[in-house]
Amino acid sequence: MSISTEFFDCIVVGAGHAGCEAVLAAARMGVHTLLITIKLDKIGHMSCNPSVGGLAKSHLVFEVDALGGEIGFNTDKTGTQFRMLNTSKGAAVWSLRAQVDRIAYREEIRKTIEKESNFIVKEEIVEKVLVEKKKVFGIATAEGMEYRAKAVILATGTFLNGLIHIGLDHFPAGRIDEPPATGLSKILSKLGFVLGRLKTGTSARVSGKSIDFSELKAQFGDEHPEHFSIKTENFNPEQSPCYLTSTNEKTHKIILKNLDRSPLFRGIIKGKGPKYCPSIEDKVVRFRERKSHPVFLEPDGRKTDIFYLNGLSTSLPEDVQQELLRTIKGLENVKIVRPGYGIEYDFVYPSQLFPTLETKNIDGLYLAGQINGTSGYEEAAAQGIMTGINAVLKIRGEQPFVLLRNEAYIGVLIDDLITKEITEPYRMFTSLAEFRLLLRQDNADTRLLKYGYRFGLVEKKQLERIEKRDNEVKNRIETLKKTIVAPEDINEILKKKNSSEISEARPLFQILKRPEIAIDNIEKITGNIETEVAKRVEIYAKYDGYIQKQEQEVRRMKELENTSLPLEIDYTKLRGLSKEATEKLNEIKPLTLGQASRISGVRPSDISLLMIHLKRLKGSGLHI
Amino acid sequence: MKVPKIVTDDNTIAAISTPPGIGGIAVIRISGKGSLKIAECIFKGKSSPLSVETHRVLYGRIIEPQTEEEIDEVLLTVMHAPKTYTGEDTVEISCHGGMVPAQRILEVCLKTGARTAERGEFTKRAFLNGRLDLTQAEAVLDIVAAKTKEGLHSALYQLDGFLSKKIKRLKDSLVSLQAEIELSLDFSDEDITFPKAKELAKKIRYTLNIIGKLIKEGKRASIIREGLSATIIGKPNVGKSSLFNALLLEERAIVTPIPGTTRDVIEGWINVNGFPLKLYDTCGFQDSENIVEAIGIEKTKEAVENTSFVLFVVDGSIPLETEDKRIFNSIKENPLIIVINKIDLPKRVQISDITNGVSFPSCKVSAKELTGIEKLNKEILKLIGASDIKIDRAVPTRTRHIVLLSKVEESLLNALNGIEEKRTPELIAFDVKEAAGSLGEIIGEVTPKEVLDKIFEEFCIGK
Repeated sequence: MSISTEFFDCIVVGAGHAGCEAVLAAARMGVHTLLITIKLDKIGHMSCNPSVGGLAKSHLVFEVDALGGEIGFNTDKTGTQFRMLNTSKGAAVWSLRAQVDRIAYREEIRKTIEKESNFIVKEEIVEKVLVEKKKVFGIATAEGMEYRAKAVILATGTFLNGLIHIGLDHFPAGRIDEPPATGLSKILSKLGFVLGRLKTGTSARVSGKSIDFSELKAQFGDEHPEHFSIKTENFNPEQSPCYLTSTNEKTHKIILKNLDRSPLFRGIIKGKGPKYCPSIEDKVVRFRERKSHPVFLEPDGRKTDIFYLNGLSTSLPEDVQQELLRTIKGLENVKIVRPGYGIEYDFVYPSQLFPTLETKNIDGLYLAGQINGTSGYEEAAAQGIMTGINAVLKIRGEQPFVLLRNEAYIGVLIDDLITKEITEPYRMFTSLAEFRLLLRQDNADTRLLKYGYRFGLVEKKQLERIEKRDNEVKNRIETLKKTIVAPEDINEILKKKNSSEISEARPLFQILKRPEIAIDNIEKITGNIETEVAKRVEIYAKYDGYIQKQEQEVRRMKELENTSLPLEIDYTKLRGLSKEATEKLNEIKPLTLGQASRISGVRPSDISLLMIHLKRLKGSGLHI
Repeated sequence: MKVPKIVTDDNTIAAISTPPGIGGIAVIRISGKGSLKIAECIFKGKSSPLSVETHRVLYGRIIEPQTEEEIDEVLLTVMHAPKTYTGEDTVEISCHGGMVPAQRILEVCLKTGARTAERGEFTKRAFLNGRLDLTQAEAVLDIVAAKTKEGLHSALYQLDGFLSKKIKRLKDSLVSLQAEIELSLDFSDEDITFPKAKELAKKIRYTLNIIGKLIKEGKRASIIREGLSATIIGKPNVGKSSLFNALLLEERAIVTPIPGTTRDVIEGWINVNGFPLKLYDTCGFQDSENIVEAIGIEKTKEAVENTSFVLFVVDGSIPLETEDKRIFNSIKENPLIIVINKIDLPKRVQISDITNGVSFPSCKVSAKELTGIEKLNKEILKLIGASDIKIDRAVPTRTRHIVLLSKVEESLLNALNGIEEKRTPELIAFDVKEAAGSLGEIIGEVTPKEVLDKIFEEFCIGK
């Protein structure tokens, strides 16, 4: 029985990257919010590698920022190294990646959260979700407290029934030094949710003093680093290098010799691990022909001596970890501060969620982050802010906020989660976004700032600044299209850039479309253009034709997207659907024809049938 | 010259609405917003489909809009929404019977922006647009449901065995291509050697090559079902034209003179037990002995090369002459039937004089008296190995496959072009993905997951 009861509008359980964004969005939108965490000083903790962004993930960071989230701004404040990846490719796949000071990141995000007035934080373990008539009304903690609210957001990460493996030893935990949330899994099962089990892993942390850097290749940040957030001004971070080394045949021999002590290969770990982030023992076994795998030594922060060994995720016993590390160049005398480990945890199959991340089963209950089967701080943050916003909209009785696949990576992420089967931890890739050319870092603000502003999460002056910039981009493009250059005015430039010369006058825009011509090259003709504008004008020129094609695809998709499917349809009663489609449709209960069409096993003919049934339903008032 | 306007609206559909096989006429129906525009592009007549009032019938010709080549003489009916079967703008084109004119008209419709209608789609649209009531809708459900059941293996089911295997392989190679490009985009920070543009181009070219062949094979396969062709050959006065007329007479098919350089050849369509057969009569060769001497053989060879087989006609009432032998020798490598004509007269021909003991199918007829024609039909069926093939209703689908494969080809050519111009890889990926998408319309979608799985399977990912 509870000792006491307190009342809130919204409760966020978990203070990782999803929880932080959720609580900030909710509090900033003006609802009275409670944040509950197992360990207070671990708010915003990066439990895996100390970095934010990277391929496709950076797109998520830019988008969360445009909606008014914190992950980008906080990374800009605490980053120790910034690099733009993929610059040899086109703008759609450029990705910013930052090394982050783990401790500073935590301190900063905590400061930001504590500044909010609409919120309270508690250090407790949630044991119960309080539900009545399929509607959530609060939570109860192990400490016997009861907190009531209209909306509850669960962002519990790996803490659901977490089981850590180091060698053949295993013990229940959420993170290495924190207890797991065991009660919650049971409660969720009881509430009717279908749970699955996943696995992830992390590598050893070592003492920097014990590393011999003299022989290692250093990797520095960009000379002119870019930042994530529209809020960041006067960006001039002090950058520190990472170091590169690699495993060798000796390392691999040790791993192969000790496979019988690997919980992964002994079949003790049952959860499915991510294919894109395998453990070192997995890599060595699967790719035997490779004599070496790269290892990145990433500093944990400015004020600590600890280094993270990116590329060496493992669940081998500690003595084996030490033995294999010492075969690696630079690590001959290395001292492990904390061993790597594998962790298995429960997740809720996200097909049980609406696109708002509210559960279909329990009204007012939202799930965000790893609990939905995703991996990564960025994926978690994206879900966090979306649940925060949607919980408030729900409390206020307003229309939900859903981003479509053509609007944002966040839209792709959530639609994938609720539509596709999750068989391993989900992470973002640019190839998952079919409208990739439209969803870029550079236009995340153009795409999403208006929403952030609408919800009161972004200041008006930011919106105005971006609108002004975008207008300037538009005007510049128009001018370039109207500027006709004669051969004598441009051929010298073309020659210099090894580009074929022209024989008759043509629009400057056509010239800029050429891959080898940068906007700086034609500055003589265009005059000086502000960098932020010039960059975007050039992208539009390079993508001209392709963007239009993608927009056409979007229009085609919209038709299906705009047709909604009633939740109460019993698909087993629809004549003519294929068996596989019936099963999947009944399981996932898609909200639109568009979503239905993306379910694997649902065919175009099934969609045709659904259209007919819908029409019939509308026309007759009959039940189907 | 009329430039084809490509109608980008994906929702204009077209199909041959009359059953396959030979009829007096065939009807192609186009429905959707773009149907009038498409008609405008491909129709040449006194009035234009875009400018006439609704429910009017226009007389004119269907042309291939790019080359202005004439396809057939037609009656075209323009019907504006909503008073049409589907409730949408609709155009119906009545052309000459036989699958080939109808097929070719459908092809130009697809080229100018329509897509092939799925089975039951006209009816489905009629329902969705409120042109059918509930009970009628039940019937529509059955039609679509029937498609679903067989559609379990999707369009693959409808493909020929030899095609389906190749298309599957093609799909695999496209997924690999896509995976290789995506690898360099999504995993550029990994320790992997990325494929060079040159190698990529080589692979694209290799795939293009396969697709090109497939399109060719597909076209050939469609000819078998959609119409074989035969050339009637023989020296002057053996009765080629009489045979041509005799064959046509039975079916009351239409004879169209072919304009231009081939004006010496006349073609017509006949129905051999349900199989459309296009017949060419080289009767023009009879004009002058000199032409036969000088260019006759040349022309004969050309005509023979372009048709499936040859009907070699000899006069049964006289012994074989040098001219017979000369013609026979130039065509004997082709599939052929020796037609001994004029059996109403006393027989004086000795076939073994030219066959030298090799056995050839032969048939005795009298074109004049119309005897032996049925037996000739049987010989033809035997020759083309079609005596037991049924005409399958999926004919338009096959055209669809070929059109889709051509789209794949186009996208890959774009990709290749992009590599040459050194466009950035995500743009190349776009084209390859588009290619895969078109292929997906034939044998099922290529999902991003499939591409990623391929990457994880083949490359060591994850630092």
